[in-house]
Amino acid sequence: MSEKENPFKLLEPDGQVPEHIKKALVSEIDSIRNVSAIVELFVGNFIGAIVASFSNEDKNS
Amino acid sequence: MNVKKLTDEQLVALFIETQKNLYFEQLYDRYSDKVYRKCLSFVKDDAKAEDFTHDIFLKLVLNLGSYKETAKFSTWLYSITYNYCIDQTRVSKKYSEVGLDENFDVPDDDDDSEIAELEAQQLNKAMKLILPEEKSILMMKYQDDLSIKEISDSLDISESAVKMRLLRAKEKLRKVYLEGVLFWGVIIAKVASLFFWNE
Repeated sequence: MSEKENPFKLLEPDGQVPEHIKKALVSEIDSIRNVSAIVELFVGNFIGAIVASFSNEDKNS
Repeated sequence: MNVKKLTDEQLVALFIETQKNLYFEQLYDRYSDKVYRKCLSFVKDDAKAEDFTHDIFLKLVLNLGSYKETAKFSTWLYSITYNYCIDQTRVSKKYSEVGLDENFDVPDDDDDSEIAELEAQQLNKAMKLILPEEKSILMMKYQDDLSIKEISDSLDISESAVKMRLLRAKEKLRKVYLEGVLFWGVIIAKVASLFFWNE
């Protein structure tokens, strides 16, 4: 079925998404990335600290 | 590197690898209006369509890791769009008609001449009266020109089920369309008869 005779092609509404949506999205993506970096660092360091404290206890005993 | 020359799939790979917003922004610029218009055809409300577009792109970023290059990026993005719109506009009532077994072999229904005969304005009205699931499968087939295989991959159902759903959606659309045409035909006939009766 060609585009000319396909009425579904005529149904698509006109309209453009406003610019502020893009800005909001990019800043949300940055926030998500920052939060995940903080969580990753915290969890990594926390586990590292626990492991280090246990290994120190072993040495002391 | 000129990002405009990169394919969608290359942009996805580079975004995952570098996490630079530049690549996401290029994908957004390519598809945001298209996604927005699809949302608009489901909700008919600018503010809601904007919210939907925002949520769909956020969902896209969070799920980029699961994107497999076996499907085109645009097909994958549209399937997220349709699924999101269906979920948001879903009518709680279940199909009233008796469910047919979607796994038996459905013959190919390539005769789209009936579709070509529909008038756009009446078709638009009829599309508002069918279920979002039916609307999305018709849009995938006739607006986005997706193949049965691509629709089946997008919706994660068998090709027979796609054919069956398409057949049902087309039947329902035709029924609603004819009811609309008949309604206006009766109104025009009534007005015309009144007009000639007075003369």
